[in-house]
Amino acid sequence: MNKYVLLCVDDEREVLDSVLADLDTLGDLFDVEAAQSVGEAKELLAEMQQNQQQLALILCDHMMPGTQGVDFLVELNQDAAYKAAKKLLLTGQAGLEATVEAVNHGGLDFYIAKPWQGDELMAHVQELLTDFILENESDLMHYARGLDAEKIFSAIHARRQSL
Amino acid sequence: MKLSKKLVSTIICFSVPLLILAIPSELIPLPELTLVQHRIIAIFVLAALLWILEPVPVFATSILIITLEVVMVSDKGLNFFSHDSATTPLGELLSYNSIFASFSSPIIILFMGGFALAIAASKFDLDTNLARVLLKPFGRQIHFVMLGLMLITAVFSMFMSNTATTVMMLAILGPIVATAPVGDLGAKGLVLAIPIAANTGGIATPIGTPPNAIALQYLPEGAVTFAQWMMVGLPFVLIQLTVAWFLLRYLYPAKEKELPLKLEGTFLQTPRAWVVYLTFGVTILLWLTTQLHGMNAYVVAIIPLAVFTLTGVINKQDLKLINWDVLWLVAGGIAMGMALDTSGLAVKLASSIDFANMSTWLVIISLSVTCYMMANFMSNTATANLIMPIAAAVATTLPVTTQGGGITQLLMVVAFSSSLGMILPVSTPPNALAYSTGFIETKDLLKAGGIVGIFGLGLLYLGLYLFF
Repeated sequence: MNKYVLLCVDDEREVLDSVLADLDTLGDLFDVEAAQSVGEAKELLAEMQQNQQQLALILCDHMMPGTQGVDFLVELNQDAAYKAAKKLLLTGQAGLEATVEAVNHGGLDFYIAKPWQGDELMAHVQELLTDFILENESDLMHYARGLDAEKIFSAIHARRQSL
Repeated sequence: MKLSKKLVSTIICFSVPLLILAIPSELIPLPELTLVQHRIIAIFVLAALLWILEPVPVFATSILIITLEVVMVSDKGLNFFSHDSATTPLGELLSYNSIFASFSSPIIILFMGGFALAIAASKFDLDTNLARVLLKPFGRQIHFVMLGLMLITAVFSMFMSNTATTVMMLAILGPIVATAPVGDLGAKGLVLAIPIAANTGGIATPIGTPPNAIALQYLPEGAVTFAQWMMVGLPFVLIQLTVAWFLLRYLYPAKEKELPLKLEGTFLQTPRAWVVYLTFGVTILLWLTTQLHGMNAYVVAIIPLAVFTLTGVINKQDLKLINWDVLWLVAGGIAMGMALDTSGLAVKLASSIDFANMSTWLVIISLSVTCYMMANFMSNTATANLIMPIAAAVATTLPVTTQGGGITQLLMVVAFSSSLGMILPVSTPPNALAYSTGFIETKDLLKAGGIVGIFGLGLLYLGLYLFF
């Protein structure tokens, strides 16, 4: 079990599977979880809290039955436990209004439009995770490989005297 | 689970010394044991257990030692502790002044000076820029890059902390090896080279690593100067590095023949940066030339601190970066050693074991091997804190075989041995850092660190045999 979790939420199973495949290599450093609805995602979050794991990044679709993606992100952003987590919207159908809401109140960090390129998605996720780790974690060395090594090592270097 | 394990070790750490306190002094097999000595035994056992099992940070143990000493065996301690018991004399109480003085020992100032140099160097990027410039001549061939990395890591760890050096060098190497596939042998070798060189490099100077300074603490004033230490330490380090270089090349042959490190960097040219460069150079020069000017290493050490704080190179924030944990750890060791020594307990212990019938070699080997083994599993400094006072007392009971006495050799051997323990990630902070990168596994450290360490022990004995 890893300290941090990546959560992917999408109501279409195929989309979820393909995202998981794209992010496969991150599995060494992070627990990668998938949920097909916001309800399921909330169950996973509750489980994570029990395991004392922290949400590092959420990758969320917008148009889903039940609670919509942007509303969920806004909800997460108001919760101190999830405020630090990086928030991505992976969607084809978020209107201007929903997107503005996500940026203004959902703490949205990145927007990827469907259809997406696997390697691009991976690169953006890595970049966001690197930022998350730099902002929230003190043991940087562990994350150097798998994320943006250059950025992480230069942060380690900058912090070298306080070790 | 984790908590309960901690709880169990805490209970062990405190119950054993309490038990020792509880048994009557007459039952302890040492002649004419006083109450003060009895209590110091309990404190020593407590410190040893806490340092070995580490239920609390090592520096907390040190502070506890000082606290217990001033409360239980000092002349200004608790009234309850300052009377003879019905059966046992109290013995002489220690002066509370001298217990507290352990934190203002010259050794502490020596380390503060070293930390000041390191803080200033890293603030103005002198360390990184110098490392890059020095690495350039080693080219791109992977073997020579490794040699360069090792030599530079070793040289820096002679004057900065081994930990800070490791971080700096891993930061230079990291981005390049991070692109190597998982399990790539060449990458493993390079990452391993850094902690091994950092652990080894610390041996070369009195300020390279705390165990060296602790050894100096127990030697007669002026017995070994900075330069004299280096005359023994430097050749030892160079041989060890050469061996490690060949070993790593053999164990971890690289597939890629070239390794292009990114070595750009420009030296800062501001007046303050120049203050750092000059002070750094002058301090090292002064350390090496005690005979010319008479100032010993401790006196020299405070000069950079004064220069840097006056010129604003080290400001209030930077001053907080001094590794206070290391200073307290060392101070606790000094207080422990002082109590063992002034109470007469150390000599009593040493003479109770019949060293006279043991050959000098057996004494040296058993002390250094014990030290090596302990250092593999716990803090090198804590190891030195525990072994050094005993070694110093033992040395006084040995037949003097060489002029100048065997004490210098014995304590240096013990100090060197405590830096050779590097078979596990927990052995030293450099090992832990390299391990946390995920490039190397415990078995790599066991293999490479083990061979280098054992070879080092052998080399020490050979050196003693040949030159003393």
